[in-house]
Amino acid sequence: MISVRRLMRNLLTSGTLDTLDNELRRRVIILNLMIIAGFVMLTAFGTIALFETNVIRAIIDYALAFFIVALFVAMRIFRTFHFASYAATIAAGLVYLYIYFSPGPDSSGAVWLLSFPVIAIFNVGLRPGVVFSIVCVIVITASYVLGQIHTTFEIVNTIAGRLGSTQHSFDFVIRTIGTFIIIMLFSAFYEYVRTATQARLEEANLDLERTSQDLLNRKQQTDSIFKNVNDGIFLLNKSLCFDSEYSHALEGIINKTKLTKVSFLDILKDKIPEKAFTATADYLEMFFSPNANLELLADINPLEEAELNFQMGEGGFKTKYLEFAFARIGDEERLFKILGTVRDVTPQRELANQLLVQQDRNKKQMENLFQIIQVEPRLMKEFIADAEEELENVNAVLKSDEEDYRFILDTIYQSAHAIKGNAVLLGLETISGMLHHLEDDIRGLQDKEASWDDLFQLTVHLTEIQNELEIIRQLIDKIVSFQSSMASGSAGQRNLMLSYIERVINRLQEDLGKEVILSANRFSGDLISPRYRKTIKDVIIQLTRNALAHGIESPEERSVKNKQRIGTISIATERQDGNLTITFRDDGRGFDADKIRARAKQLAMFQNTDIDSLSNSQVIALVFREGFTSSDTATMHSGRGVGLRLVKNKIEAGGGTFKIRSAKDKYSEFVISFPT
Amino acid sequence: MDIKYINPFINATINVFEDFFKITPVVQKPYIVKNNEDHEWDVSAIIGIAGEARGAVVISFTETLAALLTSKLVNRPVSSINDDVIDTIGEVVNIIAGNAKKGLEEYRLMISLPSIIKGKNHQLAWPVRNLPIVGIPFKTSEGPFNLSVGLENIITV
Amino acid sequence: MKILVVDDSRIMRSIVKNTLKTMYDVDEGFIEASNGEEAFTVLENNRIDLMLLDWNMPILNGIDLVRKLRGMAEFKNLPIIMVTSEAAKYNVIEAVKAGVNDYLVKPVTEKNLYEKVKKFLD
Repeated sequence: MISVRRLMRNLLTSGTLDTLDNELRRRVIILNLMIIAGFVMLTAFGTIALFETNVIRAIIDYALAFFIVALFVAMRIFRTFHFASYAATIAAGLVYLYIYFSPGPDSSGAVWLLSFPVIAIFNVGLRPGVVFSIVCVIVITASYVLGQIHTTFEIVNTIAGRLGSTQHSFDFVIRTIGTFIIIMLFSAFYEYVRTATQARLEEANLDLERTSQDLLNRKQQTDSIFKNVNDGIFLLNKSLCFDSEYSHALEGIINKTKLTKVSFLDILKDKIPEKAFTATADYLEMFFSPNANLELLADINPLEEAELNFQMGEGGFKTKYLEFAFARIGDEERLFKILGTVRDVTPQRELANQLLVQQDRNKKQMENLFQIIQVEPRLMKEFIADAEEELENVNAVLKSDEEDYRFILDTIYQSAHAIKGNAVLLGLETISGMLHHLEDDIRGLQDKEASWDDLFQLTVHLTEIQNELEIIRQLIDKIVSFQSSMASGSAGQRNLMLSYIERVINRLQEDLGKEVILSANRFSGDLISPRYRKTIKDVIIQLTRNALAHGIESPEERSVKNKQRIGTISIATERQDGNLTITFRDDGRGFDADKIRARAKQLAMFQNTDIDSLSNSQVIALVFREGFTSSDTATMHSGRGVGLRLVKNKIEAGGGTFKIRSAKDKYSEFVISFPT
Repeated sequence: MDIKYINPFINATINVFEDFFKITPVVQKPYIVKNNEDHEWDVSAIIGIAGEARGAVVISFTETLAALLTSKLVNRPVSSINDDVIDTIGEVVNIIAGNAKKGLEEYRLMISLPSIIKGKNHQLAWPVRNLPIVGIPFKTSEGPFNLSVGLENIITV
Repeated sequence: MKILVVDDSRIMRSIVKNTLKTMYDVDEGFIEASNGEEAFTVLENNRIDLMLLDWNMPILNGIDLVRKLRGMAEFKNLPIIMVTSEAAKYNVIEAVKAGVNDYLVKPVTEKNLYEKVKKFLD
């Protein structure tokens, strides 16, 4: 069944099927139909004529049948459809006219002729078809008229008689022509309406095609914008969920794929602080109010410079700095949407932050580095080790069950003071500054009951100091490995303790405007066992500091007193009766018992002591009591009443004893002994 | 490191222990913690902090206390660290973090969900190198636990 | 034309008044109130064209007054400018949500005040 239909379609379209445009296809089909019908009829007529032994008619019929078969084949081969249409139409016209004139049984040739306008118009189109039909009418009319004319020229009469349809009466011709014209007009009218409709239909179709192509182009454009733009562009509906149309970059910016119908607020939740979140929810909601003040809304955008913190698991965060902008689109309240854009400015912001941090860190590091490279690395390492030991001591107290806050604060203070002294000496300003603040904080707590919160704050400061020490340690390690790769070990290094003391002197004499030399001929570092090394070093440094700050006078004062302009500090070590004795002496102003007495009377801590009844050596001993200072202003170098107290505590903690000898304006001498 | 960021965690810890376990933890003296130093804890929960300060809050428990707290919640004896314990510690610390959030509202701070690390002397991955860390020990009738906070203040434009 | 300035600080009110004086002849139409409740009484008895409202005030604060007024038909369209010391945008959002038409952040400068007020009075 299907194959029959396909065969029919193939035959009728000359094998072109649907490849031709509609108009031409229609014509080819009509033509082929005509050809097939014509072939069948002509063959039939030819055969009939043969039976009637009308050989001429049979030959003509067969010849015509052959002609249209040839046409049919030519059409299939050459696809010259226009030529075929005209050829077939003209052939049909000629055959009909012949039949009309012949004139066939009962003049039935005229009946055939009547189908010509339909064939002509359908086959070659409106205008040529009408022209052909009119030509046909003219031929019929002319032949009738010619048949009625009797000219004086015999030859003309003969031709006219032969051609002229003398067989047809006037009435017959008139009716034939009338019917012919009516059929022609209707065919023409039908063809006109059909082609006009067809044209309009095609135009509409074309329009439609153009529009859809246009839409397609635009969609492709939007798609490509959405695909290639770096910013996040999105639409939010009234429930603040994403529309399906959003730029590809958005997914990367907010770290989430498949955003359609996802709530924007859900994305923000837990990524911005609570307060900002509530404000954002309120803010976006306001866009959907019909009387929203859009200008004002643009002004108060809470996500203008948003910081979104994305949780990365393991307690980590990835921070993104995003700039959002929102605008309302749609004219009708029902159709309101928020058009949002978001730009990721994380790299810029991070760079700016990093620069700031880096600048700060570099400044600190340069400061540290500058100091560190000037100081012998061994000294630096020792400083770090000592400082860490101090902090560990503090930490041990913090971790113990000790509940006496005063004692704890005191421990922290003394350790901080000891570290600070060395830090100042080595020029580590960041650390010494931090320690100085810590000391201030503890002093601020002197007169009140310290609370847990106070202790907490102090501990937090200690952790920061510890952290800073760690940073310096890392720096020193780098330098040491660098230096050791540069230089081979130096033999006969000077005793580290003496280097230290010389540093203290050099540094302080500049700051205090004094001139001092160190005499250490009778000093031997080898005598000091490692057990006492740190204690002795701390004590001697503190004593040196005190000597410079309080003991040794300015060069001018010394001149007035008839002393050498340059002061002398001497240290000596000695082993005696199994004891190690260290003698520290300065030729300064010595202890002035009267002055100490007067100072003690000013201090609140001695309110209940009868100062006047004490002996001179007892008065000197007051100097070692907590909170005693003879300098009125606390400077970084000394004062703060801890200097000598620290000496006393250190010696006692190390298991040693000490004696003081002093003569006013001549000298003071500390004799310190440790058991060996 | 500013203590205004830490106090909400301390208060939240005490409140949650009182509400959930009817145990009143007593805060002990704070101390200095060094990066990667050895410790005696068996299980820790770490909460990341980002925003105007960056770092982490770590709550550490002994196996005994962690198991005991879990058995109180699940109503049957638990003796060692199993999945229930991990879940419980995670949940408790989550509630502590949630409570602390209220006290942190006025700051531009974000806190992450806790992640749990277990094992004897387990390594804690502090999010920032060279971070000052303070330890805050707590004593309870059922044994000690510990809060450690490492924070660096952020300098921003 | 009547402008109502609500602020618990007398100095603030006179600053606003003096600034507005340079723009309009306000002596006639300038009414002051020192808290939200006072302002409400003034509103009930006068036809006011514009209200400048402080946020933090005793008795009835600015934001609560706005909420109260916006709930009443006769004050639905009264132009209100919130004068706030809180620069944080989150607070402004709260005020806008409550129904203020615009906001001014303290310290109020002549230029800002002029521009905001102009929008509502011209």
